[in-house]
Amino acid sequence: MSVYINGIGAITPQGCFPSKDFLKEMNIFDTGRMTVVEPPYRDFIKPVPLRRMSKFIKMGLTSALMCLNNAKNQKPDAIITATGLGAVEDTDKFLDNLTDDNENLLNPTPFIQSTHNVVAARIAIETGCHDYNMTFVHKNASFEQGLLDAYLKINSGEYENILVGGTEEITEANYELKKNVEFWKEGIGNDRLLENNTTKGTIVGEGSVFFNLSQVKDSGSYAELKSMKTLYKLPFGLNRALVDFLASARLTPEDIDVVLLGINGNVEEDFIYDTTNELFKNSSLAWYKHLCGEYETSSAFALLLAADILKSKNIPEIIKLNDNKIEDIKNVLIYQQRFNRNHSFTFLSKC
Amino acid sequence: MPPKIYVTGIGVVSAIGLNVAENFNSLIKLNHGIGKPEYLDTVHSDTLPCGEIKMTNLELARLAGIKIGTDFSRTALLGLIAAREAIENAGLMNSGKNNMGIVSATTVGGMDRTELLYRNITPENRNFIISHVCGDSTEKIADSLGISGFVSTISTACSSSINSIMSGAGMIKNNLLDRVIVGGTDALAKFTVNGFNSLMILDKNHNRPFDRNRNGLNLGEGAAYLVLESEDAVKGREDKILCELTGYSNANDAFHQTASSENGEGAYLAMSKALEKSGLTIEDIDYINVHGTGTLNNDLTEAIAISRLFGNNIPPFSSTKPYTGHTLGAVGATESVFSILALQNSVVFPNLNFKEPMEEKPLTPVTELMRNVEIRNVLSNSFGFGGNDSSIIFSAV
Repeated sequence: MSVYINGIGAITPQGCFPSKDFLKEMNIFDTGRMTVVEPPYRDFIKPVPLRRMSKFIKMGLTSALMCLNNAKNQKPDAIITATGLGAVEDTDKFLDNLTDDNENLLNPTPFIQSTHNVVAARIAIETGCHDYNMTFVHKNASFEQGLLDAYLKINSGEYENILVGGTEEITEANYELKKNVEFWKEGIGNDRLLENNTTKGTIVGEGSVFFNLSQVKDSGSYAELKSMKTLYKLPFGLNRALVDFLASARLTPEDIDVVLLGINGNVEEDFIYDTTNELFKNSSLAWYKHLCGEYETSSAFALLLAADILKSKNIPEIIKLNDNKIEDIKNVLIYQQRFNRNHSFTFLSKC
Repeated sequence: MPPKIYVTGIGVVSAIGLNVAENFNSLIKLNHGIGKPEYLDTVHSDTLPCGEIKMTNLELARLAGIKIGTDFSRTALLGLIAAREAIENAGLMNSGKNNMGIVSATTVGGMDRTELLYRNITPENRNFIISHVCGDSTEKIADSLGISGFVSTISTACSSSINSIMSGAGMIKNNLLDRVIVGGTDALAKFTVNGFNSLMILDKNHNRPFDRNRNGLNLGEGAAYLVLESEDAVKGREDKILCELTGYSNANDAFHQTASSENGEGAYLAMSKALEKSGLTIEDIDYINVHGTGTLNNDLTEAIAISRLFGNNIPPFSSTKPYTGHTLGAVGATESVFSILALQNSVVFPNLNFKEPMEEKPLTPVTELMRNVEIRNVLSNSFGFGGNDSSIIFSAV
């Protein structure tokens, strides 16, 4: 079976998707941290449960419901979520409470809401979906592993349509904590990230992006998802891994019209992408992390862009890294990695 | 016919033993591992018994064969010990790692270090921030065992490690991997002890699953892994086959984040879909290793779901949580190992501490060790927060 992207819903630092103004102008953040532009959650979630929800759950559930609306779908057959960090705010709240109160008289709500699968569970309740419900949590490969799971389940005919998405929240406390082991580029706007790529660190981000995948193509379909792969370490190098991946889809680098790269302005990481300049000489190279920030499931944001490029037949100027002109955009490849450990390739085509 | 998936190696570490042999020995001798936690630093140590592994992290590191002073969380240490045993059991320690992946589960990852250190960060200890995330323990295990390529982590609360088994099996079924290490790991943490305590579902005494007077669960810690191989990958090493993985399924209760629905819909769906996938009928199931946590809610809904599916034909069943405690992200894989041991040794482990059946749904588990029982197919359940319900079936070959 073919696998189509029939709906997208997203809450991002650049606003919500779908919306007609998406990426018309770039939202600029210069605090080292890009936070999402939150929609009126009340339009999606009843006031009583909404009051208890962390931003993680609100973002996740709302973007999932936006996605189903966009796909004109009431109920998914299965739900798959991805998050590298999980429910940071609730986890920290419970940890702080137990530390401050010496393990006494604790409010269970943040604990209950701290499990990594809390968004998937909420969506199941909201949509009445009793079927397959999974949560992938492997760092920056989480989303692609969830996407692969969804792809395989539709491709094999086991399910007709699946909701799959990635959600990450970055709290002030977590941002400060991570300063101990990572560098954030404070005082540099995300619009100037690339000019400042000779120093360590990047800008952190957050967001939630969901996709409705289906075996049925309809008038609203964005793109056809063709193949994806995650690789922990590249024993034979990036070039070989890329060529092998494309070959398994019966493609060569010349077939790829647009390559979306996970460049993030970090001098310790961006050189890893250098080889793609040579390999994809004629392709339009583009990037996305200046729009969403660096976060574990940011490749869901990349897939949004890739799908929208294929549907709209247009590459937004603000993501282009070179001037190569593409007449007819047929094939898009996404490649991202973090610290040369988890690498992922996602390939999709126009439909 | 879809390709068959075989289990060729198992490894486990829990409060009743540091390896498969020790665990089996405790199971048949009815030796449980529930008691006062001595290594977990909590104000509740006198009141809340746990299934703790009686070793320091330093001792665990030695057992795991790694250098002392590294940045391993206790979760990663336990995981490495069990995963190494599984891979050695399959005879794959020194070869066969091409196209081998790992799918590991954990619920709180490196929380055991985080909760001790996050208010006193120093340059020496700050790597706890990196080892906190769930994926880190999986990578530590992969690095130590020489596994690269497909390295994945799953976290769906208490059903996590049945789901990691399922996910790895899917990778083999789709010809994306030849072999995969699957399972889960979780160390005891103040975070989870206090979390379950705040929900008032921890028993101050030894847990009593399915008993009328059951009063909650005891938490435990541990890790367990299985090696899954495709039919082709195991050619020439058929003597390593322990059993076949014939059925698995995940369903959602879609009812409440922490409570299960009255008719046990999620549990019922998980069991019935696993059965359907295996091509077996209810009569073929010889033993159920139930989730049986000892909480009022779980045991009743699980009993209702079992009755709905099996009617008056309920096979012998037991919960092994009175032995190990509830080991969260490790529990599904741990009980999968116990189910395979039951299959291999023709035994059914008893449900310790059971005295009187529940009033609302009086089902009586196996209360004494049964020997010389013909067991062809075992069903094992794991149900978790978020209504996440999973069932798995292992069959004799």
